[in-house]
Amino acid sequence: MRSSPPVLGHGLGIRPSHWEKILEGGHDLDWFEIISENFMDTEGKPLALLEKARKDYSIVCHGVSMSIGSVDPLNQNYLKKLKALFDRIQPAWFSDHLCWTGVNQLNTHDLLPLPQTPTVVEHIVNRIDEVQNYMGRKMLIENVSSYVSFKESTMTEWDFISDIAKRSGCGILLDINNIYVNAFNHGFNALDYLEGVPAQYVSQFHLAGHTNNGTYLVDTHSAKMLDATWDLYRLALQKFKHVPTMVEWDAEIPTFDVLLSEINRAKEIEKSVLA
Amino acid sequence: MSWLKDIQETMYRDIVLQRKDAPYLKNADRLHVYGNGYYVRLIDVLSTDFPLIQWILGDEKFNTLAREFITAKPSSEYNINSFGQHFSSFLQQHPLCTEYPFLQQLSEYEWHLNQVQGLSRKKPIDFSSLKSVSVEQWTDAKFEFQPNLLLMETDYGFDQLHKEFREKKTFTNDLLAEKPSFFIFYQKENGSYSTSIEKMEYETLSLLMKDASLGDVLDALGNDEMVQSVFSWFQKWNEKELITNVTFESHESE
Repeated sequence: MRSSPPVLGHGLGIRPSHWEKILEGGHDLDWFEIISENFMDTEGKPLALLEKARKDYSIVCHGVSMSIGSVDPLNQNYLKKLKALFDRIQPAWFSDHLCWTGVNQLNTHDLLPLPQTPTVVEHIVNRIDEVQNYMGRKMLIENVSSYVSFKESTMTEWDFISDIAKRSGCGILLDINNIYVNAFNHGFNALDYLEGVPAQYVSQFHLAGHTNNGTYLVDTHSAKMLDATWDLYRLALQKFKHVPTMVEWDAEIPTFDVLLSEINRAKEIEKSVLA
Repeated sequence: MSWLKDIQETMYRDIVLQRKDAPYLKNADRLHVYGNGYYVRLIDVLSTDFPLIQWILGDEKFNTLAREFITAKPSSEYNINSFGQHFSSFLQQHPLCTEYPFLQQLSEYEWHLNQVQGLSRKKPIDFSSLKSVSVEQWTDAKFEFQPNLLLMETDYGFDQLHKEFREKKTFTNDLLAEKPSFFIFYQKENGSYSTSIEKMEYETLSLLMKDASLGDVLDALGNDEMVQSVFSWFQKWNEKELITNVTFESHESE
């Protein structure tokens, strides 16, 4: 039985253009999330800056390339480098996405959806088990946004991710925006998703903005969260209570102050919901 | 899991080939979100790593070239930031190199600049701690340089080109002179740099980085005028914090 991740407050993702502001210090934040791959293959400046930041803040590692759902064997070189990063910076916890990114050693560098079936659950549970044993740490998996779904799927998204967490002992990083986006794109009720996920597995929330393309939504991480997504966050807080929460922003990155105002809004909402 | 393998192989192909028909999917008409994203993402990485080439070719030609590269060498790296590592070898045989014969070397120049950021930086040596070392001992001295120091020899003066790019000028052929050029790439606290140096300085630095002693280098240079130059180069290297350690036959500096 691996220990659960520590319960931290609110955090932000580190983006290179914000290093100066981050290192000024004095921010009312508990933690910063890094994209693991940006620090795994470097011995240079990014790692030196991260070493400075971790003196004042906890660091959480969020990966984009484990490809936990691929049929390719897990990339041992990747796991080795990821573990070396963990040994060096001692993250509070680590996560990756419930997806596949490529096959036959070719990589799309995208977070591709999986058919939701008991057989795929089994496949992923085995792989998470391999990762957690290798890392000696509990892993969190994140629900991804998607634009297509598979005719072969026999399970709901929430049953799929919950079964994987239940059987592998991993935690869930629940992306509130991705639930909203997928509910719109695939025509389910976002509340059913929240209802369907057992609270004990949820160890982190992601908040982000999306773009409306008319007939579908795209998880662009390029804008402020819309009011409807904030409403869904309120409902998530009512069910899951306090969960470490961070704001993601990956395109058209604004000033650090804009990110601070977004996470401060999350703090205020949490305070009012849990009062 | 052969059916999952089939699905993943088919979907990978459908994304890369930007197909519109995918009978195994619901909402298959949205598969283009992944297909478009695949190319946009990889072109964006190449654009970040090779801004000079993009500036010279212009967006349209650069995007076409990037798509050809993506098709010829699809990414097999887990880290998207490594995608550009084969761009230079791809350019070697590319027809664009007839029109732009410097293109392949320029891609290597840009990749060096990119790579420097990810290499480690050690504490530079404090030469004032070596005041007691005798002249005889100095001839046996061997030097260690920053792990992030890279060298490159080219047939073109890319430094001038780089300057014009930074000044946001429009590229014209006369900005690029064909002349043997020698560059060092290094990183300091506040950023990554490339600097053009003279041929003799380049050759001296190359020898020292290959473990030659100062005495070997002075012997190779021969005349007194060049010996004077060595001392001025050392001053420059020291200012750039390129030297991290000096060892002598009998003792180490640190």
